[in-house]
Amino acid sequence: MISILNSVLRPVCAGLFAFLLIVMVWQVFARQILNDAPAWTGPAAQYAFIWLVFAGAAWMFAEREHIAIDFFTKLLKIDRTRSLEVFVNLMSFAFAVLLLIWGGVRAVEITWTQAIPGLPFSTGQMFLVVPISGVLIALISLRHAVEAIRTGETAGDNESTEAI
Amino acid sequence: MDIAVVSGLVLVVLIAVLLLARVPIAVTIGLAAFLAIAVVIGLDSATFVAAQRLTAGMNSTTLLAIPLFILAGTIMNNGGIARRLIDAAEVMVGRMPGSLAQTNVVANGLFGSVSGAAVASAAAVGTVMSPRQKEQGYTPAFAAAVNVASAPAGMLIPPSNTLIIYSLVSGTSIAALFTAGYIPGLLWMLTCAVVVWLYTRRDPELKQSLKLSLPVAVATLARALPAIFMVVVVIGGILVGFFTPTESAAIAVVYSLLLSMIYRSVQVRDMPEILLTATKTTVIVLLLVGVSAVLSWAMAISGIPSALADLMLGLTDSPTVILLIIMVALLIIGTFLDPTPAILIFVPILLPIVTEFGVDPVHFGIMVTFNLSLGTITPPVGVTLFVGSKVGDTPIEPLVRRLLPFFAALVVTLLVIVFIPELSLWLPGVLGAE
Amino acid sequence: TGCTYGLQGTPETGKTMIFALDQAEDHPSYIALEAFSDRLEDATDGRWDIRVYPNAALGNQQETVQLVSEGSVDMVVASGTLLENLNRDFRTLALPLLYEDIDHQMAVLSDEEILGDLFTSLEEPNNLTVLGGFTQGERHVYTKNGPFTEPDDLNGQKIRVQESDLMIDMLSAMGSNPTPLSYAEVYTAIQSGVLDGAENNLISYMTTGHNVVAPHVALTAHQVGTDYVVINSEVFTGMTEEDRQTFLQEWQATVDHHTQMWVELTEEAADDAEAQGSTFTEVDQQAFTDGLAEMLEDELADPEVRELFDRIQNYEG
Ligand code: NA
Ligand code: NA
Repeated sequence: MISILNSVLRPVCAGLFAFLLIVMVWQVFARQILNDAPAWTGPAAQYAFIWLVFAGAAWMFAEREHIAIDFFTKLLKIDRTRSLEVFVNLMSFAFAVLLLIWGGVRAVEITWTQAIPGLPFSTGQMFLVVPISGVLIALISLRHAVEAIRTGETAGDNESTEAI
Repeated sequence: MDIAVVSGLVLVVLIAVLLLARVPIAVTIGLAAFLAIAVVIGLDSATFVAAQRLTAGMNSTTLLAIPLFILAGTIMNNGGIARRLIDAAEVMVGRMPGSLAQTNVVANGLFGSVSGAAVASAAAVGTVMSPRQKEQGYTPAFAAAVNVASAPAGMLIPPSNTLIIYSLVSGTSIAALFTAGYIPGLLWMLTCAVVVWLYTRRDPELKQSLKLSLPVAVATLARALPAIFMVVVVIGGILVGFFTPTESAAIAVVYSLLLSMIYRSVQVRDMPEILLTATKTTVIVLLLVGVSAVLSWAMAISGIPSALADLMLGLTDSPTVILLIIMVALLIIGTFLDPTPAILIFVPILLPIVTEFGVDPVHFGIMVTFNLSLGTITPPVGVTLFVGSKVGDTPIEPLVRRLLPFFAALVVTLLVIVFIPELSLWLPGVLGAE
Repeated sequence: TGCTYGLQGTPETGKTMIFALDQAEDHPSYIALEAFSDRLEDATDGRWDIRVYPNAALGNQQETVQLVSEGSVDMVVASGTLLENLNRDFRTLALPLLYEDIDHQMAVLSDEEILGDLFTSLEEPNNLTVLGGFTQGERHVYTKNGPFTEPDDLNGQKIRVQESDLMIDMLSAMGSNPTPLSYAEVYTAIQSGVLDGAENNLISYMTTGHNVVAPHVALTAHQVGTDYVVINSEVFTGMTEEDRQTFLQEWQATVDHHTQMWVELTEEAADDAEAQGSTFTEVDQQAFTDGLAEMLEDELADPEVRELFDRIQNYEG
């Protein structure tokens, strides 16, 4: 399941990022060279960006790429235990269900008809990515937890060493 | 019980427990902030607030600069540009004793002035430099220590994603922060150079220097010129007001992409992989920004910052003491937390306290960034340290021992920057970027 | 909900209301609302009070209106432009030449009969009840170079306006070249000559320091601005009859308190501006009125809009 998800999310993320870049470059070009600032580029880039972050979040949970502090769990030698792995994934599950799915659905409801100036979408449609990402992250976390219980496999997180 | 206390307890206890249990930082902050809000306004409403703040926190034009600077850094990391900058650094300081170490310091400064992140620099420069240094008989631990110590200068030298984050939470101007970062960034490099020089005085092994003929030197500098010219376009464009920071980040991507294609270090078919690498970093940073917006709401609704401010202001009325307490606290926080989450969590609490004492918010941003950048080179959690150890192919322990003199010297420089505001504020004043 | 901590409570028994405000603690709105809370607490034996969160700590206006609609925040100050997106009739109340002056404006906004069901029109779809409005004062045009008295003097002058098509139309009808720009950038834009001036009330003119770069104030009084105070409908209708009456009584006192402070601060601002070198010029009102009347023809094409507009314009206490 997770590898299928990855093969969908990777092109989605790369595509959204490329779109974001092209829109921003077009905005600079239109403003500086054509002397005409189009109204749609700002909101379009903004919403592509938010979709990128939430789609990317699902992908990173699938690939176990988050930053976490494993100093203490290593110190206590519980870093690779089954129960810790289940606990960590249940917390991610709770985060996805409470904030992204429950909260996201309510946000979509309240803003569904709120128009975005310059774009043919509503704010609610933009918010849709939040519960969608939430469902994916919830499923992924459950899957990781079940794997840990069944096989005792505790992959832990990849050390994410990219710049922050 | 007062709601600030209840809500504050929920926050502190949950964050501590979940962080220590290696729950991802974004999940930790999000869940803790959500429950602290639920204590005040109820579970159902808290879900809506959390989802709204999560997206509202990311919904800022300024933040769009971050993925673009990250992308530019990733492209530059793929060879070509980084190598030319290192060659230029070698021409500039190659005649000094300990030339390879000094070259590493300057190369990190040059790379930092075109890239938004320090870790990219440590990776790019370290990958090229450590084999050369080993060839010259440097110990891997010393080579890696020089690289790790000097890389964070790039967080102060603009462009800087860390300063963009600070600008967001503090409401200060990016142009002012970027110009304010130059002198402290150069002081960071200078501090490292001095420590390297002290090392070479003790250890004759490190003393050798390079001899470069003038034509070669000129040719090398000329080859690096297009890469260095990027600084002019990106930072100059922001300062003159020709580009917004976000637009200049887009220009940085296009420029570095064009250069890398000319240098044949990046090809079109590499793009998806480059975009995905940049996506990972972007998502890490932006999820933190989003959950920190939830956290800010939690703190605002329960009145935690003003309660803490009253507490601190009750302790002392000396600005020097307050600043020292804050700096020590941030040094401790920085050993565990990276600059982005630390700024997002603590600046909203600390900034109102220091401005009460007349500290300039831009100056505070520079001292906080300098301080927290030190945290990236300290164990137990330090991204620059980890990357430096990986690319330098050396274990953490001997590396940290070699790092200690650098760390001590940088703490002294930090104090100088804290207590001489002009070092940060003079340049923005002269350039009219306030 | 069974939670006993903090700001929760029920409308039946009374509660501490959360009020989201995007102004600072020294703004008349904040001061009036804090006094409102104290009087309300006294008058209801401690059952009701208000906790004001200033400085947009809970989000910007658009976000906090959503929160009131949802119920996580109880009350908020919202601009007319924001409410106009929910019900277009609020646009009529922002038209030029509508109010004679602040007294006229406040009399109208306190009169349920003249406004019909405008203030309750957002209850059904949005769960929002409009309590009334705080005046934002008369708006005037100020420029770097001047003085001017006629619309012709404004020709080609780039005047900053909010991003609202109504304000753009209005400043165009007054002869200028309206330029939307974000608030924070106005000062440097006038200083560097990118803009020739801006339009605002005199209090903001002084707090933003625009008087330093644009010392010529033309007393156009083209609009009398309003900020609306909105409450969650369930909270409002859930109050006991007795508490609601007390609440409304204290609310009216709050509006009067705010208006009085506004008038005093405006006079102070005018004095300060003059002391710091600003000049105030009476303009040819008729010439501006002619231009604006033409623009109003389009706005008032709908007979219902015209009817409300005329009713308010001709209102006499
Ligand atoms: Na940098
Ligand atoms: Na650290």
